[in-house]
Amino acid sequence: MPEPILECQGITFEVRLPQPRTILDQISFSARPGEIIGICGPNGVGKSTFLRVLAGLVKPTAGEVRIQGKSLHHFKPRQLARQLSFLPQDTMVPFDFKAREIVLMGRHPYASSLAAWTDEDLAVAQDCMVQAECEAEAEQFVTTLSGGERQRVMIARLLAQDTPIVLLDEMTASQDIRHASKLLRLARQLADAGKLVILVLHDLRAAARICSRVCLMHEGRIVADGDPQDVLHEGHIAFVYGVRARTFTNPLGQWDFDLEENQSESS
Amino acid sequence: MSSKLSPRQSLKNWKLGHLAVAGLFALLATTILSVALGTVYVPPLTILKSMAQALGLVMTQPADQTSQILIVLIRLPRVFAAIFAGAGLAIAGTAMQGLFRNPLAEPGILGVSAGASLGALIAIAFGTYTFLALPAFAFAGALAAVLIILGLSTFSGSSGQTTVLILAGMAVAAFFSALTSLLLVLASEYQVSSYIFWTLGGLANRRWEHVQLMAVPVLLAGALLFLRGRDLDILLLGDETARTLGVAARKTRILTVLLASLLTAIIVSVTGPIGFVGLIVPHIMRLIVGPSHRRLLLASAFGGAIFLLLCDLATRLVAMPRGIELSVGVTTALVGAPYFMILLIRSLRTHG
Repeated sequence: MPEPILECQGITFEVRLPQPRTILDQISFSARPGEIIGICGPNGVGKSTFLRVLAGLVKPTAGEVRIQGKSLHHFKPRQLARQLSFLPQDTMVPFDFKAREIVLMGRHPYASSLAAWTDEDLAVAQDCMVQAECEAEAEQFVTTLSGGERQRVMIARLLAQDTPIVLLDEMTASQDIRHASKLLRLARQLADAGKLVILVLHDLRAAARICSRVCLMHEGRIVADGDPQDVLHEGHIAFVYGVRARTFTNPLGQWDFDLEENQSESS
Repeated sequence: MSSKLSPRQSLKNWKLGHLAVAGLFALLATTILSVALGTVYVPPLTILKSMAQALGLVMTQPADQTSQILIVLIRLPRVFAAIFAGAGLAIAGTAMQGLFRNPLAEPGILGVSAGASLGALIAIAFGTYTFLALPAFAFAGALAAVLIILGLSTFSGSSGQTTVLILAGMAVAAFFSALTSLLLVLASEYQVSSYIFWTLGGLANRRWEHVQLMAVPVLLAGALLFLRGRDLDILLLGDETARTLGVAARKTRILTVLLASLLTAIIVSVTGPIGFVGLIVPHIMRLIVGPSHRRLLLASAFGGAIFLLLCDLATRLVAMPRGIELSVGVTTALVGAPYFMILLIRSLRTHG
């Protein structure tokens, strides 16, 4: 088994306003190259905040994040950008940039800040747009694209960054079923190629099918962490989501679940 | 998407170097035009000769001493004041629009104009409006406004956040304007009219000293922003994405706000507030060369210089024979506002 590439110990994040509240509570976590980890849980349990702490975007109140044993804060911005890439839920671009120009920005960590993009940058960008299925929109303005198309451009941008750690916040939220499954397979391929992929996911079926590991979060903690089928069992789902679910293997041999009709009683 | 390229779209594919060369030639042509026309016509060849002589390129004395004086001491300083003021305002406007992610941001968004106006009025009220005292006071006022706003935003722990900057800018501008109104009540009629004349923004009677005040800051700020061009592009994807792409978002933000505000402060203190250049030129240039900052800063610098030169030329040609002293700020607004409205309607039509 390879050494952990991303670790954190005792991550706590508290906010004082409007009321004192603990968003993340003593989270310890470590992940290895080649893993694809789904972070699941109901709204407001701190999934996105946790992902942002791992990305170095939110400074935790306590605890630290390390990449290859080195504290996140000891990385220079560009150095970090060659280790870790991050996809927010949505990206609004105010001006008429072409999709290709946005994807090329993913090459920034490798580019000299004055020189024009190299042929290699252009080739990588083209390849990434093909992978993220947005090459048809390459010459269009991102401002005119639909939410799903725009997100695929941002995914191509993230692929162009080509980092060993990939953090995705709700990658498939605005995608139709064809693109959603295509992008999930793409995430899986990144992990198979030896990258560490961590995704915040609401779709438990997708999590069970593509993830090598699932972390279930509840009130700022990871309450279950491990093999998807073990983590996503009925008891955990009832505890974390407060709903009664019945899990089963569907005719295609995949993990699946149904919510029970009568949910009147509160758990 | 239509397959044929309009001239506008093809310009978007021009290389940076080609844009620079084209801009330089356009600027040179406009400069010669501006020096040539006026109450006395000067042939372009004479202008080129005396410019070359002034730069020390040619040793021979020009035949016509009068036109040499007219060109070097009267028309050229005014022309160069227009070039640097126009370029500087457009550069600052480009930076602010990018930073605030809003094409309606203008260079004076951080209360620069209000601060400069108060400073200028103080200079006038104390009777110290000699040719460099007024710019000095105006600059001090503008600087005070900018520093208070940046200080407020840092003190609130949200350094460089755009909403905080805008709100603080509004508050400080309102406060400075109130002080200005208060002083105006106490001022004499002559002081009030001098002040109002200053607020119209003008380039009349500007000397080489004024040009010198602006030249270095415009070139320096322009170069520093140009070097950060790609960072500014990436910042448009939002702070989070920018940071994970290796852009020091906060640092870039503060540096840009500071550079653009100081640049505006210097120009406003020399020329008075000239409206619309910093708002409209970056907007037009973005339509022509695209939103990428390096191309846009370059195009805006040339575009701003040419726009202000032409506005000043029009001002001189219309007003001077009639003995009126019209300010260039009036022309920029008269030309800029309708054009801006047309742009607005057109962009609403195409974007739905």
